[in-house]
Amino acid sequence: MAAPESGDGNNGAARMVTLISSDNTRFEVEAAAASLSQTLQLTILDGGGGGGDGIPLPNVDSATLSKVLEYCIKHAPAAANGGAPNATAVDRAELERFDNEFVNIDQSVLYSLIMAAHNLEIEGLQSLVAKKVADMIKGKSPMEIRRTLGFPDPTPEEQAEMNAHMLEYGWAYE
Amino acid sequence: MPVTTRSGASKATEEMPPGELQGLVKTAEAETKRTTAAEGLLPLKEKAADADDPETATDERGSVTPARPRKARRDASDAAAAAAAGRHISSLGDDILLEIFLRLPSLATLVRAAYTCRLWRRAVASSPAFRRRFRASHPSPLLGFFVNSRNVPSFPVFVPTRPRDLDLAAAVRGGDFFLTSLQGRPEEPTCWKIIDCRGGNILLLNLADKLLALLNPLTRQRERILNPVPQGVYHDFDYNDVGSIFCSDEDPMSFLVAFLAFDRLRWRIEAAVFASDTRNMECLFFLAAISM
Repeated sequence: MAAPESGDGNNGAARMVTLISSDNTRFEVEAAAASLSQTLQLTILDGGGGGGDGIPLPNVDSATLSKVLEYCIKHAPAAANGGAPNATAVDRAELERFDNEFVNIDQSVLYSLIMAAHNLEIEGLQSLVAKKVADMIKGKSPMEIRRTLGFPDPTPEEQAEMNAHMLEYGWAYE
Repeated sequence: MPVTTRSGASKATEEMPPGELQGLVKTAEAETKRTTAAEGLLPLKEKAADADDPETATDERGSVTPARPRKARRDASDAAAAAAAGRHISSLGDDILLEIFLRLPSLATLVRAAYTCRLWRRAVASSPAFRRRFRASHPSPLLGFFVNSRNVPSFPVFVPTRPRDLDLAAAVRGGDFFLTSLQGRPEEPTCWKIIDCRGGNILLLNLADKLLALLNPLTRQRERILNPVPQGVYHDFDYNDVGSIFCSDEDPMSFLVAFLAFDRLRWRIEAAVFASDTRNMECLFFLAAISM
């Protein structure tokens, strides 16, 4: 891997790292933002990703990676403050607005984000996308969940199981 | 006494058709092994590395491994295979799925989600660690109170808390909180009083007939008459008699009922225990006489 960068981010100018998506697109991003990923953090701490050397991310395509980095860049300042005790209510509200808008996306994009967030171990993003899917599930019957999430139609066997279940667990169904 | 939906929690997620359950044993064992180290779900890397698991093998779950290019290439081909296999929320792996389920607002939503498809149900059924975390993060909601009546014939009265949540309202509507299943036994006089309430179960004592009954109002059919209290043990029932239910969070069908009574004739406390596994009411011991 690359030799550690001189200064290692302590010399004022923000250290940059390069990430390479599965389709070979290069993204240059501040190390602080990329470090929201637990997986990347170790490599970056070891001095990787700088200079001409990039960090290959074979499981993340460029569309998904750009979306992920959008999240990381937005959240990096708050994360750097360590829980942001000095963050104002306005800052927090802005982040919340950003998050809500951020996951207002197609299911296929959401799926890619879920996988990327887990592969890259970005805790905040994992939590955000999981909450989004949970919100899509809540308040729905099994059939409605299937329709919402684009499951294939249930087999007659599955349908019978679902019906039997609904009879037995009447209290869980409105 | 407060009534909660707790026992339904484990029941709903625990009870699977017998055939389904048998097929699950192996999965469940593997899952338990995986999750004993950490209470939570394991990092993806470890699961993806488990080549014996057919589900993970075909899924795009290889970790990002920037420091190991050779492994990275293999992961890239895994990813391509996954893309061909369909990248969809319905195909998420168990660990990610359970993280999503953990964020569902209530037990009722989990029950419905689990029954959306077999894979999802299996994910919930095979992970005791997940169910522990779900219980820990979702305290049982209070549905209402039972009030014992002093009138004769006596029958406990249920007062719902009138929850605003639709699921909780449905639970109250769907459960047998009027205890009609006891009423359906005409041979027994209606002199019931509740002596304990725990984990969604209520323990009732029939003062006239010296009967104990255990029932779960939410699941309705679970009535069980501990019949009869051993003759010669309790000579004289008293309003101060105490009974307790001890139940398991994981297996609501497994419980213990302990009953203490004061024998006025012999001046001693007598104890009996009913265990669900032996299905016997046993007089386990007599405590020493009380000196006054």
